Amino acid sequence: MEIIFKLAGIGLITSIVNQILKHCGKEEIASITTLAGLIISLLMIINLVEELFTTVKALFAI
Amino acid sequence: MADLVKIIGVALITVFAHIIIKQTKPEIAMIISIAGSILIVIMAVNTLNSVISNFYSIFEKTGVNTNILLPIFKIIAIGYITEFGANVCADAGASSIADKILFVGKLIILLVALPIINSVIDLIMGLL
Repeated sequence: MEIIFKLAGIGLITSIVNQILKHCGKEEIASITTLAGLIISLLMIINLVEELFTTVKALFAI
Repeated sequence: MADLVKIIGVALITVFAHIIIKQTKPEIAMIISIAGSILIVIMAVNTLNSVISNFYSIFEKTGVNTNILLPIFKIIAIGYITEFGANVCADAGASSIADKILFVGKLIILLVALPIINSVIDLIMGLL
C-alpha cells in the first residue's frame, strides 16, 4: 500500500527539483533528474509486476 | 464485504495520486496507476483462491480427468494478463499497441486450446 505514496513522493520531488533547476538556469540537469526519477519508479514497479505474475501463476496452479 | 471497502479505498487513493502527479509528471502518474491496479489484484487474490479450489473439488467429484482442466485455467490466466497489459497501454494512450497485445493474447489462447480441440475431434471420430 505504501508503494503508491512512495511513487507519488518521487513524482513530487522530481517535479520540485525540476522547477528549482529550471529556475536557476540548469535545464540540462533538470532533464537528467526527470530521467532519474522515472528510472527509480520503474525499478520500484518491476518487482511489483513480477509479484503479480507469480501470484497469478500460483493462483491458477500453472 | 470488509476487503471490498479496503480495495475501493486503495483504488481511490491511487486515482487521487494519479491525478495529482499527472499535471507535472505524466509518466510517473502512469506508473502509479499500474502500481495501484496490481495492488488491487493482489488484494483480491485470496477471494479467488476459494473459487479455484472449489472448481477443483467439483471436477474431482464429476470424475472428469483433470488434464482438461489445466488448459482451461491456463487460458483464464492468459486472458487476464493480456487484458491487464492491454488496459495499461490503452490507459497510456497507445490504443494501437493495446490492440496488438489483445491479438497476440487470442493467438496464444488458441495455441493452448489446440490439444482440447484435438481430443474432441478424436472423441467424435471414435463415436462415428
